[in-house]
Parts: sequence; C-alpha cells; structure tokens
Amino acid sequence: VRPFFFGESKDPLFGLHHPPRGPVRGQAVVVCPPFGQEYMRAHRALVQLAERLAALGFDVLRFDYFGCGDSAGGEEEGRLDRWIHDTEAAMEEAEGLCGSRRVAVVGLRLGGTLAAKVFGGRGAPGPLVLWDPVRDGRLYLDSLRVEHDVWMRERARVREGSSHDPAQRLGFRIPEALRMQIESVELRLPPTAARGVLVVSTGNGEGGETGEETFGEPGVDVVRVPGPPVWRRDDGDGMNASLVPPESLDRITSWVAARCA
Amino acid sequence: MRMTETALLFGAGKGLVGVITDPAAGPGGGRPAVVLLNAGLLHRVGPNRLYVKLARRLAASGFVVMRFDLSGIGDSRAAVDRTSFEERAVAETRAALDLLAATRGADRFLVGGLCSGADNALRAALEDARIAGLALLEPVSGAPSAGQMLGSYRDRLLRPSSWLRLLSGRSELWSGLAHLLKARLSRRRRRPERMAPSPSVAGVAASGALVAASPESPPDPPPESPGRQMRRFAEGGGSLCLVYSADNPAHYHYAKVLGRDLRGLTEDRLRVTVVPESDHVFTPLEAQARVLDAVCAWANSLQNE
Repeated sequence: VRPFFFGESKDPLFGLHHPPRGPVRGQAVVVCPPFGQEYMRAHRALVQLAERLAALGFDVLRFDYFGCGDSAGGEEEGRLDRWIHDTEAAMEEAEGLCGSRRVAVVGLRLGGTLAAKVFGGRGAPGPLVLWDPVRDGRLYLDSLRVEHDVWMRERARVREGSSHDPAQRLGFRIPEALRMQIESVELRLPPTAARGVLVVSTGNGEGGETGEETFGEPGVDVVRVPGPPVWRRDDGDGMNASLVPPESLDRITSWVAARCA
Repeated sequence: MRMTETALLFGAGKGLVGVITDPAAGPGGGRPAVVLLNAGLLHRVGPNRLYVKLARRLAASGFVVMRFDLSGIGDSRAAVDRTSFEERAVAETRAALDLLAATRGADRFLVGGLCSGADNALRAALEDARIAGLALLEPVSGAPSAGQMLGSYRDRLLRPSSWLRLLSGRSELWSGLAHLLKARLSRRRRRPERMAPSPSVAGVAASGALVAASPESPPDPPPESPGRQMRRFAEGGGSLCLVYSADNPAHYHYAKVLGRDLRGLTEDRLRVTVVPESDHVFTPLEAQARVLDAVCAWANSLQNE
C-alpha cells in the first residue's frame, strides 16, 4: 500500500492506495468507510476488502473523511455535505490512479449512503455497492444513542446525574449541525448508475433487512448475505474486535469484478 | 504556519504505515520526539481517534509526534519472519525512532500507548536508551490473576446489572477468565518440550525459530516484573506517566501490585492519573479529555530537562 494525503492543502485528506496485483484492469474502486466507532470496528474488514479487490487487478483507494481518521479536521468539523465533497475528491483521485474514469465505489453503512448521494449527483456509471447502508437517519441516530447509553452505563460505569456531553456517541462527537444533516438522511438509489447497484444486506442494520421492498428498481441487485455486523461487534474491551466476513467480501468482490469485466 | 502531517512507509521492506505530525515551527526546540504504539488491534488513529487528538495537541506545544501501525496491524504489511510479536514490536518501534532521528534530528524520545501499546513501549524502553519517557495508558502486563479479577469485581457483585451481564455472557469477567485459561493451557503445552525436546523440536531450535532449553540447562530465572522494570527505567533517569481507568483490571493491578514497586519515586519520575467513569479505552469524551490533559502536562514538564 501507499499512504498519502490529497485534496486541498490546508485541509488534506488521508488516502491509502492499494495498487493492483496481477493483471492490471485500469479501473479503480473507492472504499467509503462508516462514521465514528463503526469505522474503528470495521477497519480491518475494509483493509481485507481492498486487498481482495487489488488482487483482482483493481487500483483501490481507501480514504478518511474530513475530521475523521488520519484526515485533517477535528470532531467539531464533520458535516455530511463536506463528506460528499470528500467522496467526490476521492473518486477524482482514483481516476488519476487508474488512468481512466472507470471508478466503482463500495460504501459501508453511512459510507454507502454518502456514495449513493454522490452517484446521484454526479451521474457516475458505477458500479456501486452499498453494504448495509444507513437508510433512515433517524433510526440510525436512535440505535447509536441506545448503544451509546448501554456502553456508558455498563462499560464506563457513568453514574446517573453525571455531567456528560450529550452530543457524544460511542467515543465520537456528533455536533448539532451534523446531527441535523444525518436526521434528514433518507437513502435514495441513484438512477444513473448504468453499471448497476448491489445492495448487500446482512440483516444487521437498524430497521432489519434491506430488501426488495426498499430497492425494487430495475438494475438493483439486492443480495442477502448472512454475516456478522462488522461495524458493531465488540469484544468487551473495545479493542480486539476485528471481524472479517469472508462471505460478504466474496459477494462484493465477485460482483464488482463481473460488472467491470 | 500550521502543523503539518506526513504519511509514509518505513521499516524493513518499507511495509509499515506511519503518520508524522510536525509542529508549525518545525522540529527541534530541544523537545523529545513522541512515538505512539497500537492499542491492541486498533489502527494507528488509536481508540476513539485518541492518538490523532494527542498528536495534534502535542504538536501544538512543539513536539514532533509519530503514530504508526506495527506489522500485521492496521494498514501495515504482515511480517513473514518468525520472531515473536513482542520482539518485532520492539524492533519496529526502534525503526520509528531511527526514522525520526534521521529525518527530524531527534535524539530523545517519549513513547506511549494504550494497553498492549503501553506494554510494548516499556519493552522498547528497556532496550533503547534514547527513550526518556513513557506514557503508559492502561498497561496490562502482569495480567491480573483470577483472584485479582474477582477482587476488582467485588464492588459490582451487589449490582443486579452486573449479574445480568455475567449471566448473559457479556461480562468482561468471562473474557478475562478465558484469557487466563488460554495462558495456562499454552504453558502446559510448552512444558513437555522444555523437559525433553524431541528431535524435531531440537531441529527447529537449531534454526533459531523456537528456543527449547536442553534438559541440562538451569531453570529460567524468574522474569522481572513489569513494576520492577518500570522502576529500573525511572531510576535510570526515565520518566513515567501512568494513566488508568478507575475500577478496571489494570488500575486494580496498579493499586495492588505495581504501585508497591514504584513507591518512593518523585513526581519528576512518576505521575499517576486515575480517570473516573471510564472504560478501558476511554470512550467517554470527558475521559479522553482527562487523558489528553494528563499526557500533555507530563510531556510539557519534561521538555526543559
């Protein structure tokens, strides 16, 4: 891999290029990560996803949104519109890496939601993979709040009545402006992804199964892949949970490879 | 001028991924450089992005800070040799120091980390005299015994929620006991080899991959405890910053065992901060703020030495 910073020099974004191994396709895949603790837990699965795609000949770009991971910006500065802009910047960067405009995107959770938004606005041909995308911002925030409350009570043993920042969710702050943006999230599939959309549903997202009833549009493949919620699992100390779900990864990589053939 | 961050590859075969945060005024100013080591399997940003926050805050005070992934963790390539995780962690930490020495002119270092990151920092400090200070967050070496674990749970035994967690299998007690059992089993598996190495084991030993003592060799001396190692480091001129999450096993271990080894060390050699209402990885933002304050205040107190 090759780590680097890209984007605006005053607010650089962190990127990691997994160069293709084996026959070079001249096509790239951008991986859009989830937000906050979900990203911490899913990191290893995303590394494995990128490695598998690189082994199939893709240039793979993983990156961090502004205010997240190794990218510039603090926890107060995260905004969905900014992250959509970052995803577009990553796709442009990926075009430079593979030398063509043939860029696929795989997004996990909120990353899937952002990727769908970018495709809708940009008219990118795809293909696009949404892995347990966040479909309803309110449900997402509700389930985050519940998980956070349990963690604070059971793991951190925060006493009732203690003064704690109410905007925090599992170690990360969701400032008011970001919260309002997430609240209004309602996932829509881009009609312009000519090379298809794959929705991978492990059935672990809030609201249960992501099914045909949500995405009945032609050109959308919805697959149910029973698998663990890589973004949610923890092992008790919050550090050594690293689930790599081979089934989900296989479905994604083989579908992307077939659509890009 | 703003602080700048640089992403790079380093180490043997350039397989390790790191990010260096340089202060706005550039390196120098007589301050030691800081290196942060992975917490468990979490990648270099640290739990809850704590290492990124710490790096940027220290850089604002003039420190050069590097965070990186050990081989096989985060984005770094897995190692192919057969050295132990601990040996490799020390070698790779020293490679990070070498890099900062060569590119930033650093000759003195503070090394820190959480959990296994703290344990690896201590190991590195015992082998590399350039390390002048250790920021050890929730160090777990000298893992608590079952009795100590139970003791740390004493307060919780009266709470219905604790029992619910225990009965539903969600209690940390189970993972703690599983860890102990695994350690016990692996010791048992190793024992026959030590007593009577089979030809195949001896063959591996000859290739240096596995060291098996011959029946005639004297028994291993008892390993130096982490508390004594820390004391040796401090008495040799090093400074320790210990940060614990209250009521967690690492803190219990400090209260019952480590603290005794460190008794009598002056404040310039040892600072201990206990963060209330927190978990092992300092998830509450208030706990994170306490950790950042403690480590930054300690680092700033050293810079004039």
